[in-house]
Amino acid sequence: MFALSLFLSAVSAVPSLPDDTIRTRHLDEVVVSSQTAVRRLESVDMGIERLTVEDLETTPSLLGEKDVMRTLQLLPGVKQESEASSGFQVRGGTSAQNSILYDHVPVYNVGHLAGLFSAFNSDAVSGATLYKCCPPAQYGGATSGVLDVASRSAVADRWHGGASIGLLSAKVLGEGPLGQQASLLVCARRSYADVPLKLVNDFKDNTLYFYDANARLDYILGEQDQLQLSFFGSRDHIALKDMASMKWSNLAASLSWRHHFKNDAHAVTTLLLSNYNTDNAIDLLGYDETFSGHIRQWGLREDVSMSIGAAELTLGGQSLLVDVKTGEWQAVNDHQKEVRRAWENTLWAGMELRLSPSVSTQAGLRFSAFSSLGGPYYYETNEQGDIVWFYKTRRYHIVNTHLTLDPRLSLVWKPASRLSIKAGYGHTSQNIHALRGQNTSTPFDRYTLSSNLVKPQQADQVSLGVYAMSPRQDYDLSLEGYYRHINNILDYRDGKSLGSAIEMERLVLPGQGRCYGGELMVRKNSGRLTGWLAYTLSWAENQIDGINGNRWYTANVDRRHDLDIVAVYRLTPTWKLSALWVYNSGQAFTAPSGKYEIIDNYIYYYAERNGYRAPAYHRLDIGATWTKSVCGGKLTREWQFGIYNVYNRYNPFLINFEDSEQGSHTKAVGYSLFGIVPSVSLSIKF
Amino acid sequence: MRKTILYVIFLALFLACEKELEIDYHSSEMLYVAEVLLTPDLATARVTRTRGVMESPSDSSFVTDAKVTIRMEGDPWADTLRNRGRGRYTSPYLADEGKEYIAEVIINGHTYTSRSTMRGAPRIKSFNFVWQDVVTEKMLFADLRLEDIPDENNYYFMHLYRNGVGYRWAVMSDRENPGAELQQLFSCTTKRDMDAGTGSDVLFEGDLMRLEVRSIDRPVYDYLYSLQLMNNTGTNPIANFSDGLLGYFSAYQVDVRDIEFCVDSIR
Repeated sequence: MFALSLFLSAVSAVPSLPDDTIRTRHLDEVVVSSQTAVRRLESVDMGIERLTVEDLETTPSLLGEKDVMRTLQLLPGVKQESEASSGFQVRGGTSAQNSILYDHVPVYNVGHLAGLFSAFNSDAVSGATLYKCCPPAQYGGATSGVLDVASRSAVADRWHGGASIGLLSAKVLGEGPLGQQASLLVCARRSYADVPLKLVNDFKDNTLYFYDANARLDYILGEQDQLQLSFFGSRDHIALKDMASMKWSNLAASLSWRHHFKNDAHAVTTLLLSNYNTDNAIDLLGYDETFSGHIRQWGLREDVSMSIGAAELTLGGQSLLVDVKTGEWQAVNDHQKEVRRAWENTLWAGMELRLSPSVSTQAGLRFSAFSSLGGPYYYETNEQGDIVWFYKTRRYHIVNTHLTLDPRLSLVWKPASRLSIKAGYGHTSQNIHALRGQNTSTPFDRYTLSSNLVKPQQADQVSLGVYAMSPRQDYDLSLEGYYRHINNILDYRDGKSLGSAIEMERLVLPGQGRCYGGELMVRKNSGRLTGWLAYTLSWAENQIDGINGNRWYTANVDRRHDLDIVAVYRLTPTWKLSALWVYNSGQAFTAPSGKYEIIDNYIYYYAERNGYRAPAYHRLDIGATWTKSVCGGKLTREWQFGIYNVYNRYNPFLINFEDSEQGSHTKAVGYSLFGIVPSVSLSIKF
Repeated sequence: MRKTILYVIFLALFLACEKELEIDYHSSEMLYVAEVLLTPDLATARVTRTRGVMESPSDSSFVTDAKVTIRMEGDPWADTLRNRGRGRYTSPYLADEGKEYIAEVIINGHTYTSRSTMRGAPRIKSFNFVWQDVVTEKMLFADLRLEDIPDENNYYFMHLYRNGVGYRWAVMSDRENPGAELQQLFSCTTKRDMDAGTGSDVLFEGDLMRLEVRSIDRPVYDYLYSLQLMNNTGTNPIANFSDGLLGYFSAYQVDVRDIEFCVDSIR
């Protein structure tokens, strides 16, 4: 790992190469790999997007912060959940159907300050890989996308450091060797908007901050063994004095032991821990209420990879204990709490095989046994969702088990040196379910597990794509089509919401969803001007008995057209200019089709779910980066200037309907979040 | 109320500006609506039709040829409410606490039915207006305290009127403090708007504020609770009448408090 760190260091010192670090399918470790047009063309993976640190550095940033999640949203088939969220939607799925992993450990609600920033500090990340279809067998737990964020190992030739300050946050970084066998990277980030606010009387008693910290320790045990300790923690706190408070936090930690066998096989044993907490409160004019939830997971994972002849095999397993507090609230004398626990055991096997010089295949099978565990009360309900009887099983005894089998298969055929055709099929399952009061991720989301009442969500997806590149790899192009069907999606029963009852499983109804569309990606890879154009044409629909007269309806995430254009221009060795333009068809939403009077109020009548479209969303962002080495090359100084939403486009985030007192005129009022937002940040690295 | 308050505050912190949107509303088939209310001495009903989103109120929305009857469960005799015109039907009716009543609305030969049980009388403990600091702004809240009816599960509908016109409403169960004091807050307006006298929510000196608290049964609570969620969920309330008739039937007892709004008396 020490040698690897040196290698990383050396590679990162050559700015002209579009290299990146990614987690390979086989070794399950971070290695340097060129993310070139050739690789995109030849790789057997379908529907895969890789983000590199280089990508983060070239796209314009919001408030001067490079952001994995916001850059990800510029890729085909990936949409921003909303401006107030770091969440993303993949191929017509909701963000609740994604799995986000940090060094294999699940993390949730990865946004700071209402989504202004993602929780991932770009200084700590080596890259991210998003699987939109047919993920390799070692990935599961999501019916839409799987995002695998890989931490970065320290550059260990000597001690390095850095600091950066933007409009809202500042961060520091330290990395270097610990003796001959170990290296350490530590970085931390904190918003500081609350510091000057403390000086203002009207604000001083309020709270508004976030912080996060990342650490990675690599230790060489011997020629064939290495240890890796990875840590990520984040916390957000927003509070208005004598009114309300919201807190949420993530912790992801893993300890991996990597062993290299003499026959070029590798095994990685990982202990992992994940803890996501929400804690919200109202303290208003004598009315006190708190409500909280958590998702805790801990377990053991084993990954083995080896080569047998022309085949590269991946085998593994994972045993995970999952503890979810779907909700706990205390209001005056009312205290209620619901907990769900489960034990998930998963085995997988994958293989990549070159069948002929022009044909390669990747196949995988993932088997999971998800067992609900006793301790908390379970119950049965009638058709209306009322509880008809409770039962309790001994603590940690199995209540019921869901078995799922997820096959995946991809194929690439290269009929010419600069052309390939890929096809893939993937079956995926999900046992942790999120329910949202609004259409965007918030700390108020409630989570539950597959149980006696809630079945695993299961999706089948097929995908077909054509990939081509120009002779010198200056340009490359991909065109992919997909169709996905999802079973057991959940939505609230009519008249129910997050707080209707503590027993979450009685609030929901299962249904099905389908999404289909096409994605076009054109990249310019070399020259002073680089960038890409990503276009997605897509449809997403749901059908849930009891909603919309049991008919199929347009899903809230449906946006017909999605266009992202990203351009980066190297003006001089020190100046780099960038711009991006984003266009989305408006979000589908429900508007009234009639109204009537009840209890002296005008009440709307809704005839169709999501039958209307919000105005289209578009904006232009621009950025300029000035980078220069000073102090004889010992220090690098970087200024980043940016303008978000240059032409101050009004993009509605929320739409409400209002009536006059006489009920004579209904008007739809849209509320937007960000107008034009300039930013500047300064970074120093040594 | 819980998450809604918090989410509204959360959004208020970050929302930048608002703008009216042009929407081409789709039309839908006309549906009937009935609001049938039964107090210990009077039965009233209002029967109307739905209208288009952009249509102004007109006499054509009143259903004047309906038949509305009320009877006690187990009683074969039903009282028919007298047609008072403009979709209103009333009759004196003696109803008893603890009894279940059945309302039938007959329109064009089709009968729609709902049931409701008369609950005990509610009691308002206090009703005040209070200021609350919110960062650089002050918000006006109406603070209602109730004395819960002991030894049973209770549900309340609270309706605040301004000069005889509905202003705010909410439903609440006694889950949070059974048998003791219950609290409901209504957010009204901001001090800035009050000082400027702008906005439809502003209260003026001398406005007559009437607070009406009804004790309601569980089906009506479920109906009104779902009605309360509608703006967030974009769904219709759950059905209270059979066969798709919109609206509800509620037997209830009521407590009322009238005050004249006075800025100086705001706490």
